[in-house]
Amino acid sequence: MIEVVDYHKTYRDTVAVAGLSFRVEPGQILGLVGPNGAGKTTTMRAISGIIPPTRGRLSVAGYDVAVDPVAAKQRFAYIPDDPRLFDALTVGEHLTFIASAYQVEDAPAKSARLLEQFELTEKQDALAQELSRGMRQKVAICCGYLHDPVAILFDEPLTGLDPRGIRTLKQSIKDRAQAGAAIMISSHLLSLVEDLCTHLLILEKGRSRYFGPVSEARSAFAELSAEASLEEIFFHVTEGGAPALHRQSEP
Amino acid sequence: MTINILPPSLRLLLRMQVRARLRKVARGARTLKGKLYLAAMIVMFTVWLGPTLAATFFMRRSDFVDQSAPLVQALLPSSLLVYCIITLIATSSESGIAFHPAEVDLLFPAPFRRRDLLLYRLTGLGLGLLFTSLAFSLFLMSHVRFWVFGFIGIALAFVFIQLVPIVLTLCVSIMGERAYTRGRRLALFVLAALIAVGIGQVAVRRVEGGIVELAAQFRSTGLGRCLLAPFEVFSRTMTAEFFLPDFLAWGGLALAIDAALVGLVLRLDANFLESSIAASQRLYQKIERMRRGQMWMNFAKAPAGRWRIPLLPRWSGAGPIAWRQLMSALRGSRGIVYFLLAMLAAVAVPAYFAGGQEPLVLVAIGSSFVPMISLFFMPQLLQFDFRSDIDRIDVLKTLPATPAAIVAGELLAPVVFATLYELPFVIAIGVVQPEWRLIIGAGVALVPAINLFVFAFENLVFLWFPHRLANLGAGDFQAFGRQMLVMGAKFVLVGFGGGLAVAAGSLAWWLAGESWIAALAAVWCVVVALSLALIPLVASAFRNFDPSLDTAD
Repeated sequence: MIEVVDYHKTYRDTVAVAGLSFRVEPGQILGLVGPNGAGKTTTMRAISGIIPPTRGRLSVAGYDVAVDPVAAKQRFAYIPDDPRLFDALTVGEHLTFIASAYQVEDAPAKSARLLEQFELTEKQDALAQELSRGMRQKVAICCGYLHDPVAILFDEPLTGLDPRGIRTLKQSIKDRAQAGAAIMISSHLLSLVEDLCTHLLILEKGRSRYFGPVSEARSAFAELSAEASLEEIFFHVTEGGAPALHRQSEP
Repeated sequence: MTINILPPSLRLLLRMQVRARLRKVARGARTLKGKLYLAAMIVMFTVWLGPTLAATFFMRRSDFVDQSAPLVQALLPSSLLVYCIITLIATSSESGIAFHPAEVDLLFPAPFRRRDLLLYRLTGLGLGLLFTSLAFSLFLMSHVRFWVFGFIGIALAFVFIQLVPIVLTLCVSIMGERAYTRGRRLALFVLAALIAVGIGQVAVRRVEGGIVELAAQFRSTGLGRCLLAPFEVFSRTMTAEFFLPDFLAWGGLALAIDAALVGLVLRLDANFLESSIAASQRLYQKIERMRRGQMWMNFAKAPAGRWRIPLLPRWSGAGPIAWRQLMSALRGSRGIVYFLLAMLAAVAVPAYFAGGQEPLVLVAIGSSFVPMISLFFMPQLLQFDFRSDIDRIDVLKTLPATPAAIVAGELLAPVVFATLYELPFVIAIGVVQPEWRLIIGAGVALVPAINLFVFAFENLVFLWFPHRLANLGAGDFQAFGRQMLVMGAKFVLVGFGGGLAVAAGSLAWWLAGESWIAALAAVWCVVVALSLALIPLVASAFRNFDPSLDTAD
């Protein structure tokens, strides 16, 4: 479970995120959407323990990221947009390192399965610098999945992937959610969110404009028709002056 | 030792990285080009270290060390202080402990404590410094009593110099950036003022005997003793005469200083991750700029404004290319000016203390400075040509212009800017030494022609053997070897061109009845002809350049 309570992040005079609260339960897939500069990546990075919050509490699987970062990090995976790898290490060596860092049991077999799933078996001995953008993304996903995290954070996960890679990733996200992982996906691809996510969080200028199940987003705004697409909802919320809505009880 | 308290996975990562570096060298040596570069590197090392090692093994070592001991003991602490100050200045106010982008993405969200990451970074830094220290200690071999003392001393000194900015960076996270920036400025200002006072005290004494005597005098002042105190410890470790008590005492003290700094780093336990991300991004941007050959941009914080120059005529397609590169050069010029001023200060200050009060000495130094920056520094600083367009070669190839026009457009900006930077030096020499008017006049005429020759040659070599600078680092033997080969080829070509020009000048001087004007005109004509002859060669290299093969790295 991912839990964010009253999260604030400010840089000098700039407010990146203000008073954000939400919760992603096991099995749920939360789509995090918003215009550029809305605070999506800042939020993801704060949950990942990379940047400290100015105020508020962020926890993963019950572990506060600020108080007990190692225990929290042991339980989640963060896959950034444009993941950067160690140029001189091979694909296999990346997985070896991750297995050691997260103390993964039966790592060779798990690595082999993941490499096969993402069609990287033949690239096991290739150096990271020899890989295409999409393949680097697949390696980062394999690294993220290797320790079977209970929470997974994706930042623009489809960038660079080929159609088969996209299908494999989407299916793996659904499978992992079904197995009980709490998943967050930050993306500008509203079709991806509509296709995969069970919940939606729309951010604008660091504030939550809508949080709740995707299925209730249409009915939440009376001004919209029952067939309104996610794109229409997004623009209605971010540009149409709709009031902020929180459809799930705050933690 | 830090390596023993590192988590096993981080130790594994370090081992894999060392292995990866060796693998890279081995893989590079599989190709003919790689073998050639490696051989050049070995030859260079042999030439560099050969005389030192020969002197160490074949001369009476004690005599040699006795001779150089005063020089080493006088210069070493001051040199280390200067290096430390440069490192501190290079550490900008917002900079943090820079990690590789992959480390940010993979290690920061991984289950490691901040202290583990710090130790990992320090260990990586230490491993890199071992290589550097080894090279320096071999160079120092004939100047110290025992090589191993020299190696340990220089390694501990380098560790100290690297730890000082890290301690300061961690203070940023604790006391806040604004307070740190003010504090750092104040500290640097006080340090600069103290050094200026120290140098002033020495200058008042009218030191004679050059830079060694100057350093010795600086050490004898109270301020000098105070500032050089830690560096004196490392220096004495390197130059220790006996294991007991010299090396053990000084080496132990040096180790204690470093250990205290490491302890302080770990004890501060600041949350450096956020500042490290910013620092790492800046480092990545610097590397990216280096990949595009825009290394000069790293010397200044931001491009120098939004200055514009009017669009040039088309000139068969050369004009727009030249205009684009001129704009880049104009906006990136601040870093180059800083660098040139630093270079000038580095030459002029020691020259002044070495008896440069005499105008003739200053002119002689200036006369050697201009060719040095023209041949070696300008081509590296002013990469507003094919080297900065390595990722845009395919775009250039689609332009409706002949290769010769594209080459002309690419070469114009560096030639113009190099000429603009060098001419003031040439004119200044003319002002100091008016009787050299003819030579100065020839210099003014020759500078653009020589620059065209130098930049055409640089681009020719680049298009024949394309490379990226980003991978240059400790242990990148092939990259160093390539640099050596290019440098050697440049020496040969400059020697050939210079010889040809001198021969033509001599002939003209003799034929025209000992006329210097005729001689200089002949020299100018030869240099221009050689430069223009290179352009079709560069055009041919551009035509044959295959972006799909040659830019992959």
